[in-house]
Amino acid sequence: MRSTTNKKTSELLDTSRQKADQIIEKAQRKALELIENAKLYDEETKKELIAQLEDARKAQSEEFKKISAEFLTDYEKALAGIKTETTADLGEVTKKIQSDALSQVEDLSHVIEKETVGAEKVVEQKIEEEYAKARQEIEEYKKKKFATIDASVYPILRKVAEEILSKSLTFEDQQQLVLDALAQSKKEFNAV
Amino acid sequence: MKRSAADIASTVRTKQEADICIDDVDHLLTAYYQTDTKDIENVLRNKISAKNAQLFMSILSEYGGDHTLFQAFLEKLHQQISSFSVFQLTIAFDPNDSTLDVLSLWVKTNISPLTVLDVVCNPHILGGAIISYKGIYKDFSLKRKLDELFNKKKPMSIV
Repeated sequence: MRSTTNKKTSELLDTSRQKADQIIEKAQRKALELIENAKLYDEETKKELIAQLEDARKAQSEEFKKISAEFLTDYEKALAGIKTETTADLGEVTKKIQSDALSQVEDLSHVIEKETVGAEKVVEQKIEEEYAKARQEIEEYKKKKFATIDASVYPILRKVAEEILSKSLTFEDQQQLVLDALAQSKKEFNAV
Repeated sequence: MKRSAADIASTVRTKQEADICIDDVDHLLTAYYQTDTKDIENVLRNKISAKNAQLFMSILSEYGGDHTLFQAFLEKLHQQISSFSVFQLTIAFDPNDSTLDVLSLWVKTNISPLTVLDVVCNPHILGGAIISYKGIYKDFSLKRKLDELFNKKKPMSIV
């Protein structure tokens, strides 16, 4: 990029110099024509004038070359300065963009993290609630099932116990049970 | 040896025996109030229970066939038996005569001699006894014990 710019600058300067030379040359020719056409001047004077004009042209051309070279040098220096500044500016801009981007990414990260943590807590709480609810439902279901089982088992057990008792007790056992009952009642009925 | 009305009353074990005895005594006393003594022997033979007829005839004999004394005996016996308290006993089995003796003796000895048993047989109580006496009710049956046991074991939902 730099070489392209320098090349264009050189071409511009060359073009300017060429145009300047052309103008000087044109002026010189015009001067020569004027001298040629002047009747007042003798040949010697004319040659002198032409030589002076040639010297002036050369001097002018040299001066122009020198100025062009200085201009080119100044231009290149300025360009280098601009480049340096631009590079520095670009570096700063890049750093700023990078810093801003990082900051934004960091902020975004914080926001995402915060929201993720918040969401996790909400989900965790929801799961806890659902778990507790499910556990309670299971407990209630178990109670109902046990109650149902007990409700069906207890009458059977009760019936079996009654059957066993009624069949296993002998007449003497029955009589003794009655006497035991009477003995238990003695205190209460004696007080009547 | 003459047996008194109290002696005979003390042998009455159950309310059923007491009711029969009072009916029989009523028949005899009615005969005394309405007819002459000749009809008493007819009543003894035909209108009262065989067991009591035998008892009363032996008592009349013990009183030397004196109908006045015998009538007084009957009136006293009626009065005593009518005054007996009823000791109601619900049991799980049908008691035999020997069991009735044992139970009656226990009640007359431990509760009051002026008491008769009213025995009700209810197999559903399984064993033990339910007693009702002078307005007090006590359940000492095996059924109640079984109820308590199962009610303790049962979960609240089906108690």
